[in-house]
Amino acid sequence: MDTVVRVTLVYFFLMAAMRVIGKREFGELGPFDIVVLLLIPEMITNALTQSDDSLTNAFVGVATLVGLVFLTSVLTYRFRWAERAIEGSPTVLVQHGYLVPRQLERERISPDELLAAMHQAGIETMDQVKWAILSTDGKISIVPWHPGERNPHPGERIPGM
Amino acid sequence: MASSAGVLKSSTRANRKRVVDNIAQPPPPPDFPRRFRVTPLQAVGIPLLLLLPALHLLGVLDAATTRAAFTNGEWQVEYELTTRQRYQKPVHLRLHLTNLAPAIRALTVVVDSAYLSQFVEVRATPPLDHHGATPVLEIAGGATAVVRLDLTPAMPGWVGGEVAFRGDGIDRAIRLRSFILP
Repeated sequence: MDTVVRVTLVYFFLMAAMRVIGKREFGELGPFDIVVLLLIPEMITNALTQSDDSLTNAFVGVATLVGLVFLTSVLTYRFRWAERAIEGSPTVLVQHGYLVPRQLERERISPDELLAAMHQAGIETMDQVKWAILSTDGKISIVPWHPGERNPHPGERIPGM
Repeated sequence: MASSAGVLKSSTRANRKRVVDNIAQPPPPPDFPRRFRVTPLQAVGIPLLLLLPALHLLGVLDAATTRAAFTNGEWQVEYELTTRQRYQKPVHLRLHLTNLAPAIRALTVVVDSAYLSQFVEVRATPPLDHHGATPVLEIAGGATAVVRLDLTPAMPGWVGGEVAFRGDGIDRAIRLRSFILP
C-alpha cells in the first residue's frame, strides 16, 4: 500500500513542481539546474523505498510510475483541459517582428537568449521573425516570414497591437 | 553569447524598440476528435503492469501473518508466524506457552537446525543454543512464557521447518512454512 501511495504522491508533487518552475527550465539545463535535478532523486529515494531494497518493492514502484506516466499521456491526449493543465501551452515571445516583453518576463527569457535562438535559425533582425514561440518542452522555435510573405510593418510598431 | 557579440552590435539598431504588449497567436493546429487507442502490445502490457500496484494495494505483496494454537490438556501453545515476507525483512515467530497444570513444569523449545540454516540472521529471546534449543523454561501453573524469534531469510522462495516442544507432559512439533518474496 505504502509504495503505491508514496510513488503517486511524489509523482504528482514533482509534476506540479516542474509545471510551476516553467518551461524554460527544461529547455536548457545550466549547471545549477543539473545540480538540482541530481539532488531531487537523492532526497526522494528513501521516502519512496522506505529502506525496502526488495525487487518486489522496486517492481511495484516502477509499475506504479509507468502506470501514472501512461495515464497522464492518455489524459493529456484525450482532454484539452488536462493537456493545458499538465503540459501548459506554447508562449509567444515575438509576434510579427515585435517582442512581447510581458511573456519574456514571465518565462525569464532575456532578449540575448532570444537573439541566440534567432541566430541559430539563421536570422539576424527582429523584422525577419514572424513568430518566436517558447514550446512546452522549453525550446524556442523561430518562424521566419516565408519568401512570398512580407512583414507588413517593417521597422515600426504595428498600430493597435 | 560572446560569439554573437558582433552580430548583436550590428543588429541592435534594427531590433531597437520592437516591442508589443497585445499578444496574438500563431495559427492553431488542425483538430480532430481525439480517441483513446492502444497498440496490441499496450493492451496486454499495461494491464499486466498495473496488476503489480493493484496486488500491492490489495495487500497481496505485503507481509502476512498467521496465528494458530493447540492444546493437549496440560499445555496450550499459541503461535504467530510471518507466512509471507519480502526479501531482507525478518520473519517473526512468536510462541506463547501456557502451563495449564497447577504445578510448575519444565519445557524446552527446539527449532529445527535445517530451518534455521535458511536464515542469515537469527535473533531469539531467550537465546537458542547451537542445537537450536532454548534453555529449559520453568513455567508456573497457569503462567505463560513467550519465545520470540526474528529470522532474516537468506534467499527468496519457500522456507520451512519444524519447531518441537519437549517437556513435562508434552512432546509435539509444529510445521512452519513461509514464502519470501524476491
